[in-house]
Amino acid sequence: MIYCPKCGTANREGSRFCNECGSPLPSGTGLRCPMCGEMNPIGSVYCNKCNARLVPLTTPQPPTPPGEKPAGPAGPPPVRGLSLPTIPSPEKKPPVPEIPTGEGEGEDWLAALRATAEELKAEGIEEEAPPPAAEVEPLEIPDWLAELRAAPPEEAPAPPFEVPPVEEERAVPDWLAELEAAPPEEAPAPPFEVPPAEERAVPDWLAELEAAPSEEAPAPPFEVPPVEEERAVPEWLAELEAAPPSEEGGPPVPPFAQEEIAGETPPKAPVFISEEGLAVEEGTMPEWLAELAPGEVEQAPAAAPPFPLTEPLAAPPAVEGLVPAEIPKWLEGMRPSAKREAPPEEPVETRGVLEGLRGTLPASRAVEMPEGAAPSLPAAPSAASIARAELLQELLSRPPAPARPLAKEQRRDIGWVVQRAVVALLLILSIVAPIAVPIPLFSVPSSPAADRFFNAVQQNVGPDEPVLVAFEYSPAEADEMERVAEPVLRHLLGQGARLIIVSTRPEGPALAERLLARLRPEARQVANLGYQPGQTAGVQGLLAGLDRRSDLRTGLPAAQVAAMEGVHTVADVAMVVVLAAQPDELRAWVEQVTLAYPDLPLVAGISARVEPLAAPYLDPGAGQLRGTVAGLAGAAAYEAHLGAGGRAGFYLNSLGLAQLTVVGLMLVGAAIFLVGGRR
Amino acid sequence: MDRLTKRTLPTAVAVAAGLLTLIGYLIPYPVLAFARDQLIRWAVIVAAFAFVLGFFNVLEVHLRRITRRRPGGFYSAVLILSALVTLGITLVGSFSAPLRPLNDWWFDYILYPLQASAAGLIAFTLALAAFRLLRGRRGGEAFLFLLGATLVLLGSLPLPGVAGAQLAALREWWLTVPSMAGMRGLLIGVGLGTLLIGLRVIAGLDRPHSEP
Repeated sequence: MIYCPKCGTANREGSRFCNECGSPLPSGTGLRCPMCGEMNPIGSVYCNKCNARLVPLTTPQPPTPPGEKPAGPAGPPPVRGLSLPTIPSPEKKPPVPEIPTGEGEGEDWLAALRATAEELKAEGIEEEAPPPAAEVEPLEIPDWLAELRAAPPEEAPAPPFEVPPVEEERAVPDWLAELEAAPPEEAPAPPFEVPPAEERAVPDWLAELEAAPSEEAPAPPFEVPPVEEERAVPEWLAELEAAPPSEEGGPPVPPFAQEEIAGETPPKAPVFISEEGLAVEEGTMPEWLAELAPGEVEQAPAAAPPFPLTEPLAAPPAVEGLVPAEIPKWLEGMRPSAKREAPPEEPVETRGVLEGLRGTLPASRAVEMPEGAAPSLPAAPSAASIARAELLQELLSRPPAPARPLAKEQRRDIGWVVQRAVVALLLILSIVAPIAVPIPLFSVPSSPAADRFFNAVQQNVGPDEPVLVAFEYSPAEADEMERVAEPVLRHLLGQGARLIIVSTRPEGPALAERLLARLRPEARQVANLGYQPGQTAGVQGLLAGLDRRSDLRTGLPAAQVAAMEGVHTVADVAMVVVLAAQPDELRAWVEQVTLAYPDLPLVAGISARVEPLAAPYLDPGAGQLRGTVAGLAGAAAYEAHLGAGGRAGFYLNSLGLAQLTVVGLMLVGAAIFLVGGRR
Repeated sequence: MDRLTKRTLPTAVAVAAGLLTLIGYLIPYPVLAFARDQLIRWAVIVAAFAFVLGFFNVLEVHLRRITRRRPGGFYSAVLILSALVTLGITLVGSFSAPLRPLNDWWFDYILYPLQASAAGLIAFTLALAAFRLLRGRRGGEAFLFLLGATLVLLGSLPLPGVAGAQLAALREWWLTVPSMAGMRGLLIGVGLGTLLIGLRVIAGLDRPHSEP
């Protein structure tokens, strides 16, 4: 390819005029090697024969003023980067080739540079302010660099390496001149200030440079990771802050730049890139770029690593040109995902040697980056994270619940329902059938306790004798207790006794009235003194003062009621009858009455379940209870003493049949679960 | 001040009341007996107030459940409505003789059947539990319970013949020997526990009246 010295357009070999602007192209003689005289193709950087550099790397170093220390190894560290001036280290400083000046040697680009310099001089531009590189018309512009430019080649043709040798005495590149003239906030952050570890990384812009089509603007070449910018102040920035202001009062200039301005340091070697690739002269080419190979450059990530790279890479093979670099796995893991938000449109550099390039890092961005705004790091997932994600995925993909236990549970529910239905049916039949068909199945049982009760009433209760009756049961137990209380009250009323009714349950007086309504006593025979709260204390209070209460039937004070005639305390009654359905009430009455009035006859009509508790009080040795009527069987036995059938005897068949049913169910169930297990 | 009103003073009152009542029973002196009877009467009054407070506490709890839209709010509403209606009918029947039958009707045909029906379910539950007696437990206690229940149930029935008479005798023995022994032990334990609690309250070691 032959590049137009005027517009930089690439033309095919053998072309005599530029396809773009029509300017005559240099002949195909190419560049002559200053060392061996070999002719090389236009655009070559090194000689094909002796490997000598064909284009100047640095400008001649002006003489060091006396008293000043020349730049050497103790100077500022070499700044690496692409396309920006770099202070080469003395060890790697290549020999400066002799600048050819004769026109007959065929270095056309030098002639063009010289002509440009003369034009600048003719325009009156001072030598102290070297012309910007954009105004220097390049002789050769690589196609890749031309593609990088957003502006037309005519408007921004200046490659960064086109520093004419004739201006070496000034040795101030245009970018540095802009640095001096720019306001402090626009002090260009040297984009080449990349941490050493990051130098070996494969920048994305380079990958895009190789992989992207020529029409597309490549990724910014100086995409410094934002994390690095905000987390640590680079060394050059620290120097920039500590450096004294420049002569024009502009932003502070780093020491190396000051030395460069003063002409004390060797001129920076611009980066020369050939059209074949990114071959940069050894010694000025950054290490990270030297490690890259063309094949791997194409596979480089499309974006710069978003965080500083600290892991060093293996040393690349020492070969000339681009060498395939090896991208480590950790670097591949940091490759931004496709879902990541696309970066905003990068601004186009409008000044300096980077004019026309996109993605150049403005210094203000690095300075203004808010501290602590850590970007999202697309870290590579670890093996543990992948395992957890797989486990979660597996759990989510599992079926909701196995159907087998559910069916078993349903079978169990069905069995449970069948059991309950069978038991309920048998129980209902055993109760209802004897009522529907009144056939006597069981004879009246004998009850010694009921016999004693009957005898106590016969012996202690005479006509017009007051009897204290305590109704200590609730409607829940009334079905059984009314069967017990009815024959007892009938017997007392038949004896002509006066009934003084009390209760320590709120429902007791109402239940007493309900039962008395069926027995139809005379009004003078009954006094309902109502409910007494306090349980045990209430019993004690009743025993202490019966006459202080009122009659619920008449609303009169107890002392004015006929049934209470001559009765003030419990000591005035002939007998105490307790109708208790719960053990606690029976115990309270027995304890309080027998303690205060040991000789007072006390009998109890109780439910069947209280019978075991009443047994100790019923013991003849204790003598606390004169007799008990326990449950429906005891009531039937008491009715038998009265000589007339009652409700207890009527329901006795149902009770007996139900008891037989329960016994049968218990034995059958025991046999079933003993043989068949617990299923 | 808080300690005086919340701990010291209630404890002193409780100890004094307990001692006076106990002494009134132990020493037959008219003044002590009068003091004992007065204290018991006060206890009855306090119990009556506690009953009223319990009624309003039930209303408050269920009203809170309704207002906070907790589960079972419908049943709470039914409970509150029933309680208020019963209270109103009872009060009306107590102060007005012509409306007294309304109070009796409400008790005979609403309260009594409801409570009796709920209690009747116990029979069915016991029958079902008897059927599944050995499903959950198969130890010696289960077999002993099975034996005792069978004896008591069958012995209480007037079964004809010699077997019926022997079963009745066996049931009587069961109730008067093993069952009574166990019940006496239970009563002795209850008596000792009551005595101990009373002494601890009188001594001020237990303060159920001043603890939250």
